[in-house]
Amino acid sequence: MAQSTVSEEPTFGPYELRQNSAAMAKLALGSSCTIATLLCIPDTFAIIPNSANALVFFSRLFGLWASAFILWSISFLGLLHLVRILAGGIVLNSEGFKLWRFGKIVPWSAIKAVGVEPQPVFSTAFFLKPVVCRMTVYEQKPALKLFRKGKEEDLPPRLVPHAIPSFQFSPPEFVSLFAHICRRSFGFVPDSTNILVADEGQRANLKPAYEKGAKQRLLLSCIIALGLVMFLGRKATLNYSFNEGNKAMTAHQYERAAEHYRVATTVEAPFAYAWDRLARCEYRLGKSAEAKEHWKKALYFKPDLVEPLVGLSNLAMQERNFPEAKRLLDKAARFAPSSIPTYINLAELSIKMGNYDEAVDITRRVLKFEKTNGSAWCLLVRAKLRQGKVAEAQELMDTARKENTKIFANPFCQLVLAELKVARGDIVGAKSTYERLQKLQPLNMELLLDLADMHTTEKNPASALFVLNAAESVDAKNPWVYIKRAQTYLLSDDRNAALNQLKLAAQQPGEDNLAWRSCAKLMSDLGYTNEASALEQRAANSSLN
Amino acid sequence: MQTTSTKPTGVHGLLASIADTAAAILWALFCGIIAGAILGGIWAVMDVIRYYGTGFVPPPFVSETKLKYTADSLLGQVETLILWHNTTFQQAARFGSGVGFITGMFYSWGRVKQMSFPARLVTGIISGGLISGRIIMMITSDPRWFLGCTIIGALIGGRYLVMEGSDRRLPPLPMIALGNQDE
Repeated sequence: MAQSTVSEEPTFGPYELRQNSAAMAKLALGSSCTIATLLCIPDTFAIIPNSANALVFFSRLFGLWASAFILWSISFLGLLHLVRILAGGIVLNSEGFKLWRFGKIVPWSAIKAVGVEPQPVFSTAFFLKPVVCRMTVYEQKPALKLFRKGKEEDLPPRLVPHAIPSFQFSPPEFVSLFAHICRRSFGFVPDSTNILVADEGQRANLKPAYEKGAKQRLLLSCIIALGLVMFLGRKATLNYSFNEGNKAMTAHQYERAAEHYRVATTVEAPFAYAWDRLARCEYRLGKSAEAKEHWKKALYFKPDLVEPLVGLSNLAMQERNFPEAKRLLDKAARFAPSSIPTYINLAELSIKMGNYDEAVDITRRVLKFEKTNGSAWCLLVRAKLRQGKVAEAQELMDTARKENTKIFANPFCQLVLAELKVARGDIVGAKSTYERLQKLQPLNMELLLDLADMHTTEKNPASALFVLNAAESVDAKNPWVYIKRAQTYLLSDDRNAALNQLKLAAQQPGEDNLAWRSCAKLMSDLGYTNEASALEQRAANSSLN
Repeated sequence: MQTTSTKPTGVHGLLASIADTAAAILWALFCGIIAGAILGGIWAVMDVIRYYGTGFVPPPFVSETKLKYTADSLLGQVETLILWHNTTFQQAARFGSGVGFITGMFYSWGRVKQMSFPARLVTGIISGGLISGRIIMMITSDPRWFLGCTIIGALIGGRYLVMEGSDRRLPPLPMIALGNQDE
């Protein structure tokens, strides 16, 4: 090994050694393979419930792995470049060198040892060739003073290590940096990088400094490994539970799905999607209070999530709080202009609030993008029926049937079909449709109210009252039960009974402008003008809100 | 020893600068668009593979949304542009093309850095603005955010490319081999 001393150069530099773009790209690509594989571990468990066979499983796994590979390599390379811009390169001058833009100069005279160690494990893990090295430069810091019992004591001088990894540079650049540091600090350039160059007399200080550094690295590696295992384990459990829940939900097993979603929310409380799905299960199981609470929780963690807004709007519609439902749906439409369920709910709400033109507009817009959407067709037909355009409604229903041959598999469409038949005067046909539907959904409130309407049209108050009693047992807070009962009593000219029912209707909570307007009209017909104007005011307030 | 500059001066110099600037802009746009198209395509395929066999169908996109700002205002025009972009590049292709466009633009800087001052300045402003505008669109499509980030990105991009090619940079560290004892 050549160790001849060179003459001291009066001026040196300043020079800059910048991180090498090609070396950074190599690191980004090399690390991508390992990182993508690690990131895919939770997904491997997650996709098991939704994969029908091995081909589907491996195809999806490849898709996830390749996506993670591309994203990691691009984003990590971007991050390395950003750090390169912010930190700047290593600057060397006649005084010493500094490792980054805002770093302190390490004087050449303070460097007491330089060593280069290969990192085979790191190189193998990240597919880096040639083997990556770490250069450690030991700088001697001035001795610290310690005040003990009023006396000043000098502590021994410390050796502070500075690590420079070789993966930031090309091999000749790294070797050159090592050679320059050796030449400036020790006056010679070694023949090899596999060497530890140190001042004589520094051995005693060097050993503890090296051991301390090794222990710190080991501790850091353990923390990273533990963190990684915990992170990946948690993600795997979370994704598996969530997807198992989705599978159960698709099979309409809401209790089982809710159990899985509860596990997911326990593992990661801020996971808004799991709260939303849990709320959906509870909504379908009739647990409205729990559903409301969990949808609100989902929104707390992710305020722009659309599904909880739509879910809460459903609850608001059930509570007949139409202005609140409108506010929620408008917000959802702003966040996700592509969300079809939002528009369907908006159309339904518009009909409930008597805004039939708006309902027609919304449903037509949905149908432009999803021609086979049965709910949109049937809402459009209902809006036309409410506008009194029966012929147009019939025409639309015929078109809907052509566009979507399975349209009447949707119970709501059967209900609208029956409404259309009543409007056309085909009471027999409507009756058979209602009967069929009643077998499927005996507790459907809209169906019961429609049936009562049909019996009233038939001048059959006894049957109408029978159906309305059933409706009251389903939802006693719905004012339409009492309004329709009042209408039935008025058929047999029982004004007192009708008045009592209208008073009951007015006592119900909610902001249903159409209900209050109908109630006001009946009150006015009965001669109760004060009560009628109070109800008109309530209807106006409901519309304004 | 004296060196003579070969840089053209006067009208020729101006024309050369304009040509250099145009070449730099075209190069940046070319890299961005090509990388965007490639990665957009790859991402669309990846999306199909990721959901293969699950029966998942991406929801249809309703583009006829009400604009928040009036069409004749600057924000309204920006909003229309964003809406056009979101309608043209949908679902996975939107994300993939965005990542590709940003990557391609950054890649183009490697060559632009070595070009003349006006080329670096103008390309830095244009590509910096486009990059940060596209980055913010991954988070929000609000025109105010888009406009604000585009302006900030343009300033950063211009400043960076001007600084990168500056003569005030320190010279690179001279290469020496192991065992070389000569100064």
